Amino acid sequence: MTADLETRKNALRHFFEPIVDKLGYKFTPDEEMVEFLLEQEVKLEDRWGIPYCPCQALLRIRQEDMKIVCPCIPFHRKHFDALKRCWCGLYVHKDVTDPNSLKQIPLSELEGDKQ
Amino acid sequence: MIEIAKVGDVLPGGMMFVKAGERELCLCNVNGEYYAVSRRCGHMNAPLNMGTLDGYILTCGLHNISFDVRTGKSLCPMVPHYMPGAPIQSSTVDNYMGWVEDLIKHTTICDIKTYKAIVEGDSIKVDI
Amino acid sequence: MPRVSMYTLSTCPWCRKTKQFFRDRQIPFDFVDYDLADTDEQDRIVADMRKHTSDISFPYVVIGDRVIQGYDPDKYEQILKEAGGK
Repeated sequence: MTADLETRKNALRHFFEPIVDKLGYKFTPDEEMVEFLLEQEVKLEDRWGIPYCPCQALLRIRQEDMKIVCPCIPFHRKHFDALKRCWCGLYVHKDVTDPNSLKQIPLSELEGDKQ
Repeated sequence: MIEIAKVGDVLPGGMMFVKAGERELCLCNVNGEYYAVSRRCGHMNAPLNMGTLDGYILTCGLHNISFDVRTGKSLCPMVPHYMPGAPIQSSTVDNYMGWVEDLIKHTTICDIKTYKAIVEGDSIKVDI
Repeated sequence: MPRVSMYTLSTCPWCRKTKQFFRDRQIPFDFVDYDLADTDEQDRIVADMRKHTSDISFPYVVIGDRVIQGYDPDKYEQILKEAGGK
């Protein structure tokens, strides 16, 4: 027995919004993307009991997996601040109006560029 | 229409146990809007007015089951929620918690009933 | 035409877009969905990724001998062009 999908999606939104707000992020203006990602999170929550990031891998090592529990911004702060959004794109910096202009760049590449 | 409370009895973010005839209701004030829901939790009948209200999300004090007070829908999967692969407790009375979990893990969480709350003058009424 | 293979997640919209990118161009590719694979396969994928990069990030696309992590259509295009020109 699982919770009603729409209801749970709204609940996750309600829980996450104040958290990411304090971190300097907001939900991406791409509403379709928000709906899709939250739906995936609800499904992951049904399976694992925790709303993990739909775009990162569960390594089955608890201390690693806890770093990808949505919103995972505090654990990847440097990376996401450079991208101006989180890896899956659910959250963007508050000043972002066009999330499609942003790119997904892995951390190793970003750090490589600096050297 | 039955009067259940006066405006000002429940402040925003608050809840109150009210009786409407035979029925026991929990009256919630979500940022100035009133919602009346059944007082009994859809999981194990604990009184919901003793839980917490966060925005429109009402959480039961007994097993942390949450409901959306606007629709009465449950937000939770079954509680307790097992991690896949976790050993399932044997159902012996020796292992009391395991036994309790074995008993309640099959229970479906029902949605709770909502009632329309209307403010008329200084009284809050529900349609039953 | 270089060989294209990728590791993806079935829950990730960017991985879906990546697959769509190659389908639109009718470039054949093979992929493994990490989250749907069994645990042995998952370990193998992680070990394989660690050989090329320190990040375990999806989508992980291999075009010929180049590795691209993240959805970046411009980069895919560029690498395909370079590989095609040879």
